[in-house]
Amino acid sequence: MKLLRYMSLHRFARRQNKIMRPKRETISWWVAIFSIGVLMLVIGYAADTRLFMPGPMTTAHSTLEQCSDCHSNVPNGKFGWLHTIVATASPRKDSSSCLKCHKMGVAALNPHSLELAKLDGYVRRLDSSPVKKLLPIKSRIRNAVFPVESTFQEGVFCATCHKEHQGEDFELKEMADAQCHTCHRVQFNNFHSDHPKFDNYPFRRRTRINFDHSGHFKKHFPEWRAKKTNSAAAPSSCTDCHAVNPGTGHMKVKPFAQICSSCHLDQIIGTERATGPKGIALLTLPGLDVDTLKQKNVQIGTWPEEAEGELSPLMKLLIGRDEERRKILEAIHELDLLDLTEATPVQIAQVEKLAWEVKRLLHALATSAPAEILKPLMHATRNRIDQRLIAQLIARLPRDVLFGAQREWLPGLADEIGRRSDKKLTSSLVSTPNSNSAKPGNSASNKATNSDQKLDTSSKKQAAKKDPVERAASKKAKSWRIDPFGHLIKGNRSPEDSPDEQASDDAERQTEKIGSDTETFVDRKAGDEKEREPALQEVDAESWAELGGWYRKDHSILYRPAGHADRFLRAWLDFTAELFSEADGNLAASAFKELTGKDAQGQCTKCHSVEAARDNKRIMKWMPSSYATRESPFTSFSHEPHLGLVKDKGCLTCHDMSGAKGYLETYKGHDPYNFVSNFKPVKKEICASCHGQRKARQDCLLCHKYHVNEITTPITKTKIPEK
Amino acid sequence: MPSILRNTAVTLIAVIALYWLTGFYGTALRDPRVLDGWVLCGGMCAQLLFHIRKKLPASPLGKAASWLKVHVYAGYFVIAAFLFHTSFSLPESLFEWTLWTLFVVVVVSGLVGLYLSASIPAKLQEQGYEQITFEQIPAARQKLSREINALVLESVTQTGSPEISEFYVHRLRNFFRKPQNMRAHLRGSRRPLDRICNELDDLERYADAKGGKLLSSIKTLVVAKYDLDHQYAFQGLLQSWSFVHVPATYCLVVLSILHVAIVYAYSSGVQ
Amino acid sequence: MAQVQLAKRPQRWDETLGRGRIPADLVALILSSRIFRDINPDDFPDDLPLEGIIANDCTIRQLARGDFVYREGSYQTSIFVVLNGGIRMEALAGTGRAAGQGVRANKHSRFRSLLRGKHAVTQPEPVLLERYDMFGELEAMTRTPSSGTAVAHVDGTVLLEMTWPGARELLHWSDAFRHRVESIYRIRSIDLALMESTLFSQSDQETLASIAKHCSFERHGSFDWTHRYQRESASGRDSARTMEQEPVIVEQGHYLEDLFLIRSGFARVTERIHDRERTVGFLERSDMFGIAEINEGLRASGLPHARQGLRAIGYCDVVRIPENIVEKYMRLDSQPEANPEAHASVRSLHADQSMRDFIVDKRFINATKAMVIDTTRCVGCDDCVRACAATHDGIPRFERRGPTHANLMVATACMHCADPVCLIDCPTGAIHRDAGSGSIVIDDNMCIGCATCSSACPYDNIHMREVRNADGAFLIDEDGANHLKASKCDLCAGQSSGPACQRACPHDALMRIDIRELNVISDRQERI
Repeated sequence: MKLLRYMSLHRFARRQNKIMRPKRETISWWVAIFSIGVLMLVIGYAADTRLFMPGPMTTAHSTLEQCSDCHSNVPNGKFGWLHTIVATASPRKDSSSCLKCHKMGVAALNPHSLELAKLDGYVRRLDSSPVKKLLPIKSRIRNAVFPVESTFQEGVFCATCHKEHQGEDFELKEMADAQCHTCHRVQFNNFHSDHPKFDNYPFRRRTRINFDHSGHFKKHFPEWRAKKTNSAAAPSSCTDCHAVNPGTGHMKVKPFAQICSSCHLDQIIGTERATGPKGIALLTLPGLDVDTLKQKNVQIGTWPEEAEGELSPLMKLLIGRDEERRKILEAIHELDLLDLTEATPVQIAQVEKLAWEVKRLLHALATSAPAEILKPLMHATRNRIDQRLIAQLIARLPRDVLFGAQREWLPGLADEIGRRSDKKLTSSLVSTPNSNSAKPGNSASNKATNSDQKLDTSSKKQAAKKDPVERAASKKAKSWRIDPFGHLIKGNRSPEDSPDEQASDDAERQTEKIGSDTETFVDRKAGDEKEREPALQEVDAESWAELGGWYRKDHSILYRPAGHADRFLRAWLDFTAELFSEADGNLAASAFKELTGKDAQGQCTKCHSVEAARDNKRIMKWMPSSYATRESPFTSFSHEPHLGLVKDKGCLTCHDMSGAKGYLETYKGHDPYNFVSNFKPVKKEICASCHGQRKARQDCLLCHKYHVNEITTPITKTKIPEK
Repeated sequence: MPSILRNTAVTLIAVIALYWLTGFYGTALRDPRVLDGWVLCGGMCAQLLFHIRKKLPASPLGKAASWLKVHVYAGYFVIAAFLFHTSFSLPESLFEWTLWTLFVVVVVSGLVGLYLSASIPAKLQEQGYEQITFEQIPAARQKLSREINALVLESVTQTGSPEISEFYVHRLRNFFRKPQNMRAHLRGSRRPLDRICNELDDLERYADAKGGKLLSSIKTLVVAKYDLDHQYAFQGLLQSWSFVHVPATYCLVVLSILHVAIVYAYSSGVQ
Repeated sequence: MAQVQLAKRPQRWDETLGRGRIPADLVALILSSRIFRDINPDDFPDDLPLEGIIANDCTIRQLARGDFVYREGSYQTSIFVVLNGGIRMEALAGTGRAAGQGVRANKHSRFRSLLRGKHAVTQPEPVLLERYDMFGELEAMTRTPSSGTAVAHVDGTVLLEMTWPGARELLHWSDAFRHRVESIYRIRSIDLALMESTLFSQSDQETLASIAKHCSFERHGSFDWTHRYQRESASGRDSARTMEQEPVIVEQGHYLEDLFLIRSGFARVTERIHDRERTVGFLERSDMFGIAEINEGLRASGLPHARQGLRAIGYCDVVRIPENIVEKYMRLDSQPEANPEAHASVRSLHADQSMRDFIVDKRFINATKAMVIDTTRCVGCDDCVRACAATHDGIPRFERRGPTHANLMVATACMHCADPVCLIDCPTGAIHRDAGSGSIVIDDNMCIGCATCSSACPYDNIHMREVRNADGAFLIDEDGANHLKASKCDLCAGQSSGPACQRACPHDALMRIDIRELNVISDRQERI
């Protein structure tokens, strides 16, 4: 009020008196009005709103013509910006414009562009580090005055750090250390004096490939050289095995074929193998005490008496693909299948089932898609069926090998299985359908198998006398005939259009015929076949498969590794590792152990380490460490710029052989973090001899990355010119 | 001079505080230009308050002298804020150049004005000029002009010789009519005066007693006029700087408002 | 809007300063009282009858016990007569000492009384005034602040207050009244002078009374010195000549019989160098002259001779105390050696000789609020003038020009004199001292535009300006002449924040100061 009074007084004074000097004021007002006018004219006549740009954009961005390309809230047009004085800008929207070209994944705007869960993990790891943890007082004051937390919640937008319009050659990616100090508690400006000591850098874990540098340098390479007979020379310098990745400057290990195969290939393909089969048995017809079974009148159909092998672990896994079948295997676990004289009737019954399961497996592999067999196993670990994996596991088994084996071992298999499945079908009709234990995703045939097993005891008792119901069922099956390859082919008469009574006689006849065939098969000698085709006997099947592949030997179908990175072995190792469990009687575990054992064919785990994953599964480590798979995505060391600096000591300048014992021992375990390195850790002092000594850069971003994910630029979508 | 020390210390502390704060602001994932920009804006508004205070000379809001002190020291602070805001670098676009230039003009004219205000009155005092207010100078000049006219007329009637009147017509009429030799005055040179005086002396040599007396009175008036011009030159200078300072400020205010509007329009929501 | 408006000029007694007129019967009663009985109404001119003076320029005040008439240190210009009841005068020793120096004086005196705190200060007994006793004349005549506090002693006390215009007329026209007032004035002056003097602060009431018997009171110069001064300064003679016009109180080198105590007014202390007198400083109320010489005389047991001369500036009232009395009663510790500060024989101005001459010659010693402009700082922005105009309805009350010496310009703004001669002849009392602040203000309603004050001002700081009505039209009287009113700086009375001119100066060049504080200026060299 008082002020108002003064102002009115002032105005009065001005009117009344000439002592006021309004000249300057008048000039000033005119200047102000004039400048507004000039601005209006300039803006009006300007071609666009580039006039407002505080500075040119970097060259890379210079083709962005419209302000609205980045400033998403500003409408185009010379006076569009006036609108935004009232409209609020959305940094998220603006950032998404950046992310159109600079793809950074879903978590692009999170700190370090990391998913929050991962970020939490890293934060916890940093929290547990022994380096001082208290936030510096400066940062604490800063946080009190300008809290950062709220900014995090919103997201760290691109323009927070990358500020445009600072000139054509402005380095948008250049950041000051202080910007890292926003969040990081350990703050310093001098690498040499203040950077925390390296914690066993760069060894966070044992190497994925079990390569004992020290052992090779001291023992294997000299021995190799001593032999002299070898064409390839043993490595004599680091670069014989290690090379620089030209793009990134990171180091890489040369491939197996170049540096390992001259010594280790033979171990893989089994050339050097002295004992045991050189191939891995996928399918083996187990030897059974056929005589005893015959005595006890157990119906297992044809079974070659010469078979004397054991079920291979892989086959066991395939047979025991579901709960019911695993029980069979458990029941006969202790039993010597080649001498069943002592066996109890219950055990005998299980043996019978086993025999039929073996037959069914073979039959199924030969007739239906192998996927069906593996599905239950796959369901246990993953939700989807991996066709590629199936192919690598079984499907590459040539069908002819299978048929050859079947013809030789179980010639009447199709008939037998047909009969058996009829019986099973009929059984299921009378039985109480108590199939709760069956897995929900199982196919109809599995269901039938289940019921079949349930009814086993009863069907055994009724085996001698023909059950009228069974007969009726077999009549039904008559409409199906089996082709020479064991395929079930729908007959010319469908069960629908033929009356049951009429069909039943045919079915009876058929069944009896197959029964008599079975008798003859059992009596026949396995060697007959060989005698008939002497020309093919000249080469041992195993030797024939010297370069890898499938072969049949005795009553087994085997696979001989075809060199390094054999897909079959790798697939089975990965698959069984995935199914691995420490629990007793885990079939996958025993298969895995078989495949990774000391004498395992292929010798994969001689070099490729096995690691325990969560829930005690196993993980195979196939690839050596690389830039892409490095444990800490934050730190990156490029060897290339340093190569010229190391002089005489070479790689040993930094990579000092420690001579520590026990490198190999740690690979017996499965914990990659319990390890002994061949090398001494790289000490900070080595880096600090240049960095932070006014010789070399020392800023955070020299070695540490902010955006841990790779940033990719999407290729342009160019339409094919159709005209 | 403890108050100078105190004020300088306060200003320095404020500048350092601003430096730290912008540093903090920058590391707190914000744009420090926003902070020092608003500080600059606030500082400029505070500077404008002085202008408003000057327009209300009778307002009870403290002494104008204190206001001026605040204006000057806040000005130093604003200069620092400006340097921070521009990151100690030159602008990159035409609009920014205009803003930058205007700011510099305002600052420099202010500093010049400050220097002139402090030095000219004391200088004039030192040189022993009679105190006369700027507004009274034209009247005093007219009075001198009338007096010289009278003297010249007297010379014509009394001596009858045309030398003095001719000299007046050729040499002195313009000299007395309006302010002359401004540049010489600002340089502090008395050469133009000496020249006229010498010419008068030349005349005097051939004049009779009466003429000599008249010429010496004319000389007195010439010296008085010259001194008046000197006053006019310096007092004018004392007024003139604000004719740059204030209009430039008005223009700067217009452009600054536009600048803030544009910055916020294209801010991307940066804090 | 009319450019002019015809109106009757205001006349004396048109307005009374916030008081009613005394009714005629009461006037008659007053005039018949003892105090006015000897005044002859015939002495008064026809247009200024005694009854009129009493009725218009006097007022009746009724007080209950304990009511204040005025307080010590306040400015009042009336003479009072007790008509009924009683008044108690309480004078505190020393408190009125530096009176005449406005507000600052009180501060000073308080400080000084602190300094003297350890000494036993005689507390003078209050004086009781009874019916028909007169008081207030000392303050009214010397235009100084009250030296004591007047309180109603009993209920129903009635006072006749003669405001200055009335009192002045009575003093002027009635010899009887003047003689009576002056006799009281002299006696009281001596009493007060002794009481306020530090020399006798240990003496009790009776001793003082006995000293007083020996003292004499003198007046040098006249109260209305201003016209003479104006003549002098208009004559353009140099300062030495100006000085010679001033009445001599003590001649340098003469035998010094008495100690001089300055009661009111100012005195110039001079020294003769060769043939010319040089101003050393000046003395004001309560200052002493001659104590050093007397002391020296005592020690040398010779006759004291004045080492310096003393002249009255304008007018000067002095009390003379005979040397032997001083010798007899002087406090022991009041020897100059013991307390040089209190005995500074001269008030030096903290300035060089020329500045001292400038100040004394131009009578700026009178100034309590001179507008002093430091010309080394002033940039001529005219903000001060604008500020003044803005606070005074658009019309500034001073001009930014005036006598200049060295870097100091004393602008033509009312300096609110310690001895405001402008007040003396104001017919209505429109120009008066504000009782609280002591500044000189003009009551616009009472001013009749007679220009008496304007012509009385020795510094030409009161201007007559044309009166306008609310619409801005000039008021003119029957003769076509403009109505005038006196206009001068009022120190922005009514503005809580003090004079606008000083606040408006951005370069701290303009100050409103007591001229005795000139050192403030010289100390204030620093800039922003």
